[in-house]
Amino acid sequence: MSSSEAIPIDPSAPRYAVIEKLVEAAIERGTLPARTVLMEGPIAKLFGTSRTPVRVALNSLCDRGLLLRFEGRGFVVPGDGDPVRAPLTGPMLGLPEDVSPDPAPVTSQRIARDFETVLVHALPFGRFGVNEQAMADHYNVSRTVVRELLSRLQDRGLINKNRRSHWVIGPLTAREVAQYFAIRSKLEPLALEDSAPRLPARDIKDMWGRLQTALDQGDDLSSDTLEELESDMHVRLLAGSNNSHLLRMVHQSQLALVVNRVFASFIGTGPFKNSLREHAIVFEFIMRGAYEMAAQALEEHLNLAARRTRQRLMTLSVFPEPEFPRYLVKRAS
Amino acid sequence: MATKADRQADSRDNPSRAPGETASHPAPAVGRGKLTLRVLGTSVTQIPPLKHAAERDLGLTLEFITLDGTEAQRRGALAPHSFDVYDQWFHDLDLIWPTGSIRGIDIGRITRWDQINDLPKTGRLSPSSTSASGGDPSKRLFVQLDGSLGGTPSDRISMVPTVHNADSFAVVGDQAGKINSWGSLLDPKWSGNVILQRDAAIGCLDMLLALKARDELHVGDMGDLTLEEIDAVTEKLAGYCSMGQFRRIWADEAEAIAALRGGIDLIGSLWWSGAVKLRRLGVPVSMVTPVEGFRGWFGGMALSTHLRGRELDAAYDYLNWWLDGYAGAAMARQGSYMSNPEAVRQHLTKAEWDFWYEGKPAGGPITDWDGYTVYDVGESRGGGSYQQRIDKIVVWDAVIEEHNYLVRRWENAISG
Repeated sequence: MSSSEAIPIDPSAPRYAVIEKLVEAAIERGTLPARTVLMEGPIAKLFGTSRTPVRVALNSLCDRGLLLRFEGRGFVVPGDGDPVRAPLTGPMLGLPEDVSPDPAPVTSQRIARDFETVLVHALPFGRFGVNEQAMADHYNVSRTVVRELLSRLQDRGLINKNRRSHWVIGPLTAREVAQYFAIRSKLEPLALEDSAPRLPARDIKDMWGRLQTALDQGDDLSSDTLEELESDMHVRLLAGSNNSHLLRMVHQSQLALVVNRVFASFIGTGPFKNSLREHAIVFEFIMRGAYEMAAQALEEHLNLAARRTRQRLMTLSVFPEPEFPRYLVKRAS
Repeated sequence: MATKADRQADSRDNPSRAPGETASHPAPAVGRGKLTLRVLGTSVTQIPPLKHAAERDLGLTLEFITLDGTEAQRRGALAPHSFDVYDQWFHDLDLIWPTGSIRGIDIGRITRWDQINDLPKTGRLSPSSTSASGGDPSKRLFVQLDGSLGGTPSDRISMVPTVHNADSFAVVGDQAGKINSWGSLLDPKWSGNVILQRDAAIGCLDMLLALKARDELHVGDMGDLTLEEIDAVTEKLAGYCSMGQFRRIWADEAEAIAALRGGIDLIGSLWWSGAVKLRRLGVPVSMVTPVEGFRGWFGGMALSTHLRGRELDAAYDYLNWWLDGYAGAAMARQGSYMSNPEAVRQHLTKAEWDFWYEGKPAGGPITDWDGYTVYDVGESRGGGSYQQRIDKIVVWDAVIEEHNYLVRRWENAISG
């Protein structure tokens, strides 16, 4: 097989599965020659992804004997001779030449979004300190910008200052998950009853269509599709409400959803089938104009989801800890 | 000490030990070419004679993937395609089942299902027994209508219940007879001579039992700690670590054995399989019968979600083989019980049954599964019969709801 031939990839497969398949194919056809050293960072860059799916993919290839561990850091393609530390390129992994890291401009909005994502994904993995200077260096902005951002997140209860005035986050606990869901189970039905009657029928139909397609598709949804369906139920369906205070509170109570995102990034979307069937029950009532029942169904869905989410948080205890930017520093307490 | 030759001679007098002749399972479904079955588990059940006997009886090749508990859990949760059978503990189903990496087991295909006693099915060995808190196997045995696990009987189960025990801690040396409380683990008298197990789902209970015995910390429910209780127990752990109470905090059994092998007057967390291995090496080790009660654990075998066709049939054969009695006899010879003891009884001598299951003093030399004498005439294992020892379980190994928080605090406390 030549390196220009495309490897058939299921677009709905989880990201780690795509990476695993491409690396495996690259080893088979020799574009990743024997003794090539593979590190998570450069591969993540080439795929434009975080390191987590890369790590899962490489570990799986290692379990299957297609890669060997290399001096405790990274992996090496099995074979004879000395290890080769050549820079990796897209074509070596079966990617087009022009794939490059996202060149988006650095804006305070992008920083805020990026930082919040990093922070939320770290929450289940323990307690972290945030180093202001390292964060300023990381985003190439002043400490004032960083402080302003951190203060905004403090107002939302995402980040706190400890007794020594250091910024700290996490760990997310089962108790907090239960508390966030308790709030959601009351607020979201309230918003739904307000919003659903105002939404255009076309929007409802679109959401229903997406959900049915996903349910028919089996266990192989992509995590992006899952995210989309979650947004349908917990953002778009509620967005018709003109109670902006309520919507803001709804948004802020959805923090614990990170547990499900992290879980799906390692496990795939199979275990979320039950949840999506409950979404369908909510939509069934909405399409019949039975908004009160839809609100009750949503409340019950959130109660069930709370239990599932707490269980998934238990599972996260055996997941390998992702690598986070250097401005996040693991703390004992 | 008996030699291996003695063990082999003995087995001729005891035909039940010849595995090929005794298996009562139905004809294996793997006659169309040899399959390899990959079994993910720990050192407790993955012992050579069982591998050889099962391969011979079932006509398949077994690949044992033997890891410590935590590593096995990680692989069980994240890499279902890397194993076919998951041979682990009921309590860690709380971590594994939500990932969908194992599939429900049809009890119609478990030939000796009815022989399995009430302990894993109801949490009690007899109606007069009391239930213990923590990871009670019966509460995670049956697959419920919504796909979760629970105690309401159904026709599908999460794991076939197999090996279990009432555990405590070991004493090496002649102090054994003088120790009868978990509190000894934290007694300054033993400072620097204590070992503790690292797996938080087990080691934390050893700590809690010791702290309670010493009146240092009382929690509401050892099987469901609050965040404040976790902070308290891990702060205590960190304190005892910094004072040098522990000689070793071990992750797998081999480490525990190495730590206890070298010295005299040592105590600490140990599994029965480890105690028997040490006795075989001539180490004078005893397992304590604490007045506060035992910490229980229950093992089982589960099926990987990817199994289909012949592989699935072969995996069912292996599960059924475990209930035939031969495997249970090997487990008895390292101190553990099986969920269907009557089948095991057929594979033990009367002296062995009386010693391991009835708790009576040894009527003759008691050997391990390899034929080495581990208890001499007149010695007993301690704690009484199967029923008496199981009834003294006060808590089952547990993955608590705040396990993620516990593990991170626990590891921080240990690593200082």
